[in-house]
Amino acid sequence: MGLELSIASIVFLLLLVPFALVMEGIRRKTVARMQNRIGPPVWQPIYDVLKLFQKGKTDTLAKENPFFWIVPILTFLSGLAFFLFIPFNIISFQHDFIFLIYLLVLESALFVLAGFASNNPYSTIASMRELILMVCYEMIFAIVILTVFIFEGVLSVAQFDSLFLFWKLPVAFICFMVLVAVEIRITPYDTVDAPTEVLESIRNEYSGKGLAFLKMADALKMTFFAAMLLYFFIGNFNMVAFFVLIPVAVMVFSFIQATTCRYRVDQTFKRLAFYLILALVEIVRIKFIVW
Amino acid sequence: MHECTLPIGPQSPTMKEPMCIRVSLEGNYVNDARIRMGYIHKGIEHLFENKSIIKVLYMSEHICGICSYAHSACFTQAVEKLYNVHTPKKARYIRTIVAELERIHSHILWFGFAMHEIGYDTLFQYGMREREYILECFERLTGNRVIHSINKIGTVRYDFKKKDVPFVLERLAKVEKMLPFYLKMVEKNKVVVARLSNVGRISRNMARKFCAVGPLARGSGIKADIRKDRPYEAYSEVDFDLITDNRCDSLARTVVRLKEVGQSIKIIKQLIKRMPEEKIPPFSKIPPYLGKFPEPKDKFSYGQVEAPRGENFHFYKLEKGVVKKARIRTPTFQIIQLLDKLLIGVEIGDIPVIISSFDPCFSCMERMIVVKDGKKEVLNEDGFRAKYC
Amino acid sequence: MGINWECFKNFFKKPFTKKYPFVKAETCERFRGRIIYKADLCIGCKQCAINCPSSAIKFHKKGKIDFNMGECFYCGLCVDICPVNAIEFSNEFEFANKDPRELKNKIEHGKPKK
Repeated sequence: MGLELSIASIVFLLLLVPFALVMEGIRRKTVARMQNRIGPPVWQPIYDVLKLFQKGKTDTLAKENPFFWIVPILTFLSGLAFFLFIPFNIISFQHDFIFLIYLLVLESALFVLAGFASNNPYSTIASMRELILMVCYEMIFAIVILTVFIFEGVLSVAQFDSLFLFWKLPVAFICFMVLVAVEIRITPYDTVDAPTEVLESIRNEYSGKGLAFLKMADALKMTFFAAMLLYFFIGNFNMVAFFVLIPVAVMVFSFIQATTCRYRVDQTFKRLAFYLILALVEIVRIKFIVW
Repeated sequence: MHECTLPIGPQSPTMKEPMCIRVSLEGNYVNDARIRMGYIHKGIEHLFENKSIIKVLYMSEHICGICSYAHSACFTQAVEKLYNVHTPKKARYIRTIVAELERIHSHILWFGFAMHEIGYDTLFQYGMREREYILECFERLTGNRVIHSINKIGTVRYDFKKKDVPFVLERLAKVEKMLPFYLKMVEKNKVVVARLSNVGRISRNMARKFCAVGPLARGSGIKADIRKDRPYEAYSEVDFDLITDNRCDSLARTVVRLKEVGQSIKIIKQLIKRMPEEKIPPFSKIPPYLGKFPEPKDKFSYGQVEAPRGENFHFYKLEKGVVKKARIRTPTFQIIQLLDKLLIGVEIGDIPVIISSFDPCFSCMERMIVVKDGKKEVLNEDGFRAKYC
Repeated sequence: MGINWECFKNFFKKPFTKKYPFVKAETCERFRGRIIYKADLCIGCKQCAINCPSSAIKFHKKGKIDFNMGECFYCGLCVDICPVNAIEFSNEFEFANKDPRELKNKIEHGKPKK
């Protein structure tokens, strides 16, 4: 189980960043078309990130805090590290799936730390909301991943190989879709990112390089969840089909975003508790009733 | 428990106009709310002093952008009451049509922003699309989309031609087609109901004690509407329902405003069908541009009009064709005193919902009265600077 | 079900937005745009300058009047009360400028429009 990094994998990881930003652009364009307007061009997030790198340092009270400029870089690197898990022909790793759960918790925790590091009451409220919800949704994520792997009977992600699992594990599929909505912060569960309550939530004080890294981390996370949905529940075809199906999954996410509205924090928590119970029922069910 | 003081505004996505509310939080709940106003005080009442009536007629529309016709109608009503002017039927019908179109436009704009507060951006964009049809109607009838300038003393400026009728009716039909869809979204969608119901409850007794007006009072079951209590212009000749709702929360106020749009469309269709054939009298071109009216005996007059947000009341002292004193009491001035009582004990997520269910219009609301030692004095700009700065 | 079907339908329809700077915006005949002042017809009665609510009109002499389009709020009082109809509205609304001296009326010669 060694870690093997070659030149090809580094090039692949670096090419993934513009791809993820274009996926974010596709999401914004689809939402706009559903609302009967034109929307920004598909390359807009790339222009945004390039412009942000040209800006200078901000003059806030938080600049004396060393975490203020370290944490966005770490968030971006852990976002890149996700893609070491979906094996293509270029990279493949033989790690356990427990490492995957740990990496997702790490990225969410780093994002929360970015909110606490800025000296701002709005960011503090948003970070506390994310912490409260993390208690619930990380458990759901762990239980769903365990369900999938116990059903297949494998240990590492590279050995995973089955088609159309959503037919055999429907309840796990529903819980996973809810989880996607919470993790990538789209309605109906985007209470951490509510602009009318906490202004810009965790990214309030950031500008320039810090904000660019946080935006790239968000885009990478969304692409990773689209890839994970396809890999686990639909199946792993060859690489070309994979890259064609990721935009389709992103369009499904934007359909969910365009047709719903936002819950409050306590209502979100109650609904996530309900989905936790569903996930527990599912992991018990696969031992007895299988089809 | 984490305690902090959070300032909402003066610049905030919640409020479209500047006002500061200092909210002290304990955990997720609000302990105390204090309102600070004065960020958009324009000194309108002082600007009206010593100006001739024909000038103030056009300045009165600039008190507010969304309810601009209501202020102009109030001023015209006050002057026509004092000078005993009789307006012909066609002019009254045209004024009523413009007032009802403005009510539709204001309520649809409010609906779009209220849905944006709870995260439903799709309905926000659809609402802006419906509002665009109404603004095109305004441009065709009066010449401008927002500030209409159509009132004159005793008459109106432009006539309502027959070739404009299919244009207006086609656009009203498009708005009316989407109205049942919006009502269904508000009442049947479980996320919207979970966000809006039981939030910002104003019981019927409390609304009566604080003399609430407008859709806020009608959402608590009080039947208060100037168009039915003291009809003016053409309202005594048309047939419409007074919408009330007994649930007393934000959901009730939303439903009341949406159903009022339907009633306004019904009024406009009746007026277009019954429009008389006569021509409107021309406005005068001889100074002071008021027409041939006898000199009034009294000096004071008032105007009372149902603006989209409630009852609008203007009080004037007019002497020899010049406005000497003005007092403008807008509907938001009357209901803003309820705001900091409703904010205590709610969660942070409820604050934008409560503020937007009031439909506040701060730019027409702000007045300044200086009270010292129990005595009241009204100052102008130089006097204020000399005394207090 | 209603909102899902609406969103799905709108994805394939043409957007409602008008691409304004690339497509010309049309105005109606009653539109209140930039002031046109016909200097030949002016009789010098000064009523427009006295009665302007925002004091945007400066009277120098008969045939020479300055309308400051930056202060004007397009109410139309001067157009209505001019006894010889020497002041008119045009359809022009795109004349924003960095130089305040360019914000003036247009001067024309000729007959009033009926």
